[in-house]
Amino acid sequence: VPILENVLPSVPAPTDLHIKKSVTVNKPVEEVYAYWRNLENLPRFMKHIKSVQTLDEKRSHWVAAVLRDMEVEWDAQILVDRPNEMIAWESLPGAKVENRGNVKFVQAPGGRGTEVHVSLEYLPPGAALGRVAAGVLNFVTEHQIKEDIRNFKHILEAGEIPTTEGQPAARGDAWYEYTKREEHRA
Amino acid sequence: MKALCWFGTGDVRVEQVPDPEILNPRDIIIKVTLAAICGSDLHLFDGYIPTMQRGDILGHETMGEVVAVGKEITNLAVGDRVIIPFTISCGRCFYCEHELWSLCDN
Repeated sequence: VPILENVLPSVPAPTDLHIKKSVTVNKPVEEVYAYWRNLENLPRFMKHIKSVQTLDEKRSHWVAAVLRDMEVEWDAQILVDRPNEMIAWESLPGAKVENRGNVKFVQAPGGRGTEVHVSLEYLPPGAALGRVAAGVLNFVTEHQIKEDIRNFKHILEAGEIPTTEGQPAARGDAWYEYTKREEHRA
Repeated sequence: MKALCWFGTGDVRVEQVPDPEILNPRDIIIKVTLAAICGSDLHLFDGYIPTMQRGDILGHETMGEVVAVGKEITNLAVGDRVIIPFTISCGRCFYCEHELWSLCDN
């Protein structure tokens, strides 16, 4: 991934960001396709996407969190929709961060469900908006997309994203406050 | 409850921590009656596990009595005595469906 924050705004980015990841999901291809085809599900497992709102059969409005304090919005449209095989989408002209993606669904061998092959592409930004786009490129990392695709599998198979959040521990300030309360009670 | 907590390499302490709660409908809570110390506890103790955080509770091979069950639990009830294996498995992936729980994908 190019570190675009260090690149002058007038200099075009050296390369596109193109991430490909695959995972096998132990569910029938119809179910896996249907979950993804409802684009409003994407924020449940894609960390950098805050919301997707369906506008009509083809078009949708996306909001991405690119940095802690910065969001980028764009409209996208579905280019290819072959049920139980493939979905491809692309940002519409005027998007600050041009991007496109596709996902292919293939029946896995040995009755193991569905292979999901995801491809995401974020294109080099226009010079004036370099900083906004650089935010996306810093946020959308290969590692994060890998995690996102794993979370997609977790949701479909286990019905949830496994976490230890909320479990007790003797960690940090929360525990310090707890011990103070306990002492006070005693 | 009391728990054995990790505070750093070679530094574990029994501390008072908040009681656990049912956070997930498939959770159960047990009152531990005995705990084994596993060889992999030594990896934690010796500082070889980079994801450990100061204050984390140790222990993953225990036995005890069920004191609370989540609402999706159908095969256990309060009062049952159970042994806890080290794996945490989803029960729904390819491996779990084939009773290969230690290979769980999730």
